[in-house]
Amino acid sequence: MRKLWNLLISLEIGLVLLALVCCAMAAGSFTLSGEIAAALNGMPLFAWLREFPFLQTWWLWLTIIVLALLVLNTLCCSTDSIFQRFRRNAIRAWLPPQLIHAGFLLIVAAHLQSSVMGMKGSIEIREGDRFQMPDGTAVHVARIGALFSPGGGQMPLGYKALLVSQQTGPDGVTITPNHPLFINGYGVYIKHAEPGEPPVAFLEVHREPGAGLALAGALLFTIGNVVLLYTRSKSRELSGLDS
Amino acid sequence: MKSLLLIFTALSFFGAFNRGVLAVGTAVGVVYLGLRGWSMGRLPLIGPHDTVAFFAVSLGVMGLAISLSPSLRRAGWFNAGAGIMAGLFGGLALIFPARDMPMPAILDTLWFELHVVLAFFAYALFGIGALVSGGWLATRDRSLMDIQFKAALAGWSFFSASMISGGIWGYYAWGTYWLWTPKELWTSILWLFYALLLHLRLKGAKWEVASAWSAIFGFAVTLFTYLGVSLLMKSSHSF
Repeated sequence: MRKLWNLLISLEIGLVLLALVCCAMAAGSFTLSGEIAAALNGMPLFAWLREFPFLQTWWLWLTIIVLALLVLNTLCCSTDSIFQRFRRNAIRAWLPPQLIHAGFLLIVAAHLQSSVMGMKGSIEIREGDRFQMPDGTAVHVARIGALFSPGGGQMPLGYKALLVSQQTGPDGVTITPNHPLFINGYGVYIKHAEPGEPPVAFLEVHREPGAGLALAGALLFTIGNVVLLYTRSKSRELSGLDS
Repeated sequence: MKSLLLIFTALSFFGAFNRGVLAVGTAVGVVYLGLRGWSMGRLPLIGPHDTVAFFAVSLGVMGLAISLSPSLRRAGWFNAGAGIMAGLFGGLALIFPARDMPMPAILDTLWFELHVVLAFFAYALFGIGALVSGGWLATRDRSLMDIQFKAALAGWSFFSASMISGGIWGYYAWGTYWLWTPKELWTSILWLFYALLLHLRLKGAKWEVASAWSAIFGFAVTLFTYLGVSLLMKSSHSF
């Protein structure tokens, strides 16, 4: 049992796993192209993995498996470190790396949640029409227009659409690039629009259930990082990360 | 205005063995970026000219800051190395035409600006870390490994913050904080690689050679992530 625990908390194993994830992702970056790449961003991760042949998805399977092992290694290392440091009452040295580890674990969990429960759909809709959100909320597209720079230019910088639903109230909400509309966990994004009689907008509806968890992980990570930077800037000796 | 970038490049490349010249060159670079940003009404962060120039000036700024470490105060080789790196990228920026286009609406957010600025600070620190590692391999002065570690840790922190702000921007812009594109993959590779490098330090003095070479290799990964992926691969971050 002790042997297995030592293997699970092994720094060498952690380093090898980190190197392996890098290699798997690098292989994926050269493999990813065309329709398969577009599909990967258009559907939940596990649906994509099931739909396409292993010859094109092997690198992502490998990435997920190695990441899972890395998560296990991180969890075991952190547990061991907490136990050791608590006994030595050295919380200042112990806390920042563990916050970083916790942030990393939450971000991986967020990716997993989004990969399983996320969704994305696109809608082509004319001004004046209605569409229904996946939760049943009806949305009316009251107006569609172009966004120009304050100086006025020939080319529009982007597009906007005024959406009205029960949730947005009678005045509705104008969505523009970087300013989507959120309704019950779903986001409505404007991608493009075309002038005409009537104008047409291309919208996307996303559900990213892991976003909150990812943000929580990012916050934990940042706090740990800032504290670690502060403590390391004070120390001049070669004492390591103290993980 | 481009003459300012030329002066920055020349001073950094030829005169940086002297810290005062490096400081003047970097100040000229900062003024160039400031004037360019002022003329466009936004930070100069779009297209190869602006981003390479920003990277070059970041190298000067970070090099100058780290040259103030007690171990490097009299190290002319370090000032020269940082200057040559800054000058090389300043020269590269001059090759690309400067585009004065208005900010596309999708990029017009503080999260985007934060994402890019922090990434370049990180890249610059990774570059300086590689330079210090080269110095350590040549001199075996142990204090240099301490500086390399701090540069890598600070760079990794900037890079993490850049990834977080990029994720927030992506969530508001595209509906997801993550896209499977070569740029995102290489960004993750770079982040994981520097996590590996920082953990290598726990292995102690016996692994310092591996740590030094990893920092040099890490800068190669940085350059591929920034320039290689943007120029050679189809990605959400292509120039």
